[in-house]
Amino acid sequence: MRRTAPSIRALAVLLVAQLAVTGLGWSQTPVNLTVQVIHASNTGTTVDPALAKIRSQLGSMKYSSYKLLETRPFSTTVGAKHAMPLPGGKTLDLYPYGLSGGGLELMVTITDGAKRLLDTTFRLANGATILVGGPAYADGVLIVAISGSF
Amino acid sequence: MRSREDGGEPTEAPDDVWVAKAQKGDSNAFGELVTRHRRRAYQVALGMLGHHDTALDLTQEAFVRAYQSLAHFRGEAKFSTWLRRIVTNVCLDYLRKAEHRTPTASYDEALGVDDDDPDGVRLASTLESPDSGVWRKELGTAIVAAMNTLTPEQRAALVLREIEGLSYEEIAKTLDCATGTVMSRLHYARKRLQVLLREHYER
Amino acid sequence: MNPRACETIEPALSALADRELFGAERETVVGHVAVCETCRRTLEDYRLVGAALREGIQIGSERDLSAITWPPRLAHAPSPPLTRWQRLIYDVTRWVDPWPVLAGAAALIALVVGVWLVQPAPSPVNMVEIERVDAEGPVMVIPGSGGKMTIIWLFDADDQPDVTPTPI
Ligand SMILES: [Zn+2]
Repeated sequence: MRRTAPSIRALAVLLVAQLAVTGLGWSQTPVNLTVQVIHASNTGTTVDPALAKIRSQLGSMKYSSYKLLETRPFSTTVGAKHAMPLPGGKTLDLYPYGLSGGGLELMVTITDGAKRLLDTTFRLANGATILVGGPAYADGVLIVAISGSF
Repeated sequence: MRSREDGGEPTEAPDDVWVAKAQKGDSNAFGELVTRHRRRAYQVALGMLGHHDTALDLTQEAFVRAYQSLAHFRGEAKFSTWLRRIVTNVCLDYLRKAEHRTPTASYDEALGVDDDDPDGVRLASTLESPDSGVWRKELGTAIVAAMNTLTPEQRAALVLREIEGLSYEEIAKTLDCATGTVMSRLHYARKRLQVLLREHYER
Repeated sequence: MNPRACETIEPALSALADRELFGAERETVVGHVAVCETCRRTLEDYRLVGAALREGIQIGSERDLSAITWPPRLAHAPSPPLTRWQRLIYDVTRWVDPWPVLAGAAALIALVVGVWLVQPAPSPVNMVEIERVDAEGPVMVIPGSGGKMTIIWLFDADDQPDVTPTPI
């Protein structure tokens, strides 16, 4: 019985999360999020053409090579939680939890096993992009670009 | 600090000041409302669910929903009344879904009310204070078990009456039903608890 | 007492206990209860159950509720859909307290965020307003302005990144 406790609690958590998605939500505001996962390193000089803009943003954090590993668009609603795996066993959690002041309120966490690398909340204007970089991956780092339109 | 959290008489600015700020997008103002009202909201959730972790999650969920629909809050009712309605609905939703989703699992399992649950803090164990003795622990366990046999609507009515002290009319408004319905839900709920708990009250 | 009478009275006992019975109906029920031991015991049972429930909730709600907060924090669990590995990570991480680790980075974060706070507020168009940043290691927040994107950069807590950024 003792071993079953986490799975019961997991079930409860799943139900709660499911509620956030399908509950009799007041506000089912549709939101489009796009997550781009980029591997930046100083090995080689390949720059994915789609990443030229992002590369120009990075200022002193410039690397010589940028590879787009994944582009994942989400069509979701305010209040729905998403988890996506990142390379190297890390997990990205996205939680658009509100709309206010013309911006989308978003919570983002990046975890690596037991390590909580980042836990942040911010407000994203329509069409804006935020870059989260730094977690070590292979011979370089990961950069995650998150943009939203709603 | 406790009085601020108990949702009683606010010691500082009244709720509607914070509501107005929050409606203009001031997230800190909403944070103030959360701090003020979370204990009362949690009590309703705990009463309906009988399980600490689930009550914690759903109370948080209720605040998220309140925040999302804050624009629709016009201030005809008090913020606490409006929030109570949301908390109740979130818990009702959860309980109804739990009923549908886990037809083979008992309520107790779905809610994590499990005798071997290593850290699930249940209502039953809250009666286990040092001076309470075995009798009250048993009573706590028995109450949770008995509550779990009630329908979600009966539980809601009982909690709003016994914990929140609402009148039948207020309960009817919260649950969107007639006062006659409130009366009969409470009757059946109490009757059932009386039968199930009779042995604990043997005199 | 005539058991038939109790049957008709009983549905109203709960309302009587709640003081929600009025007029002639109340008179009838009160009159019956005055002479009926069974119904008086039922009323007493209702009262005891109500009191026990209230007491349980009262004690239960004296727990630490700081987890209910704003902005909301994600529960330790990532949300579905989850892979088996994510599930495993979740099961492991929920037993580990991240706070001692986070506390170490707090001072630095406070400094960084503090510096960020004194910057002029970003214009609302095409911008990101950061509300809170907690990280395990050192973190740098570069607010975007004038078409620049906002950047959150995480540095490795244990060792410096082995990648040296090339000069511009
Ligand atoms: Zn009688």
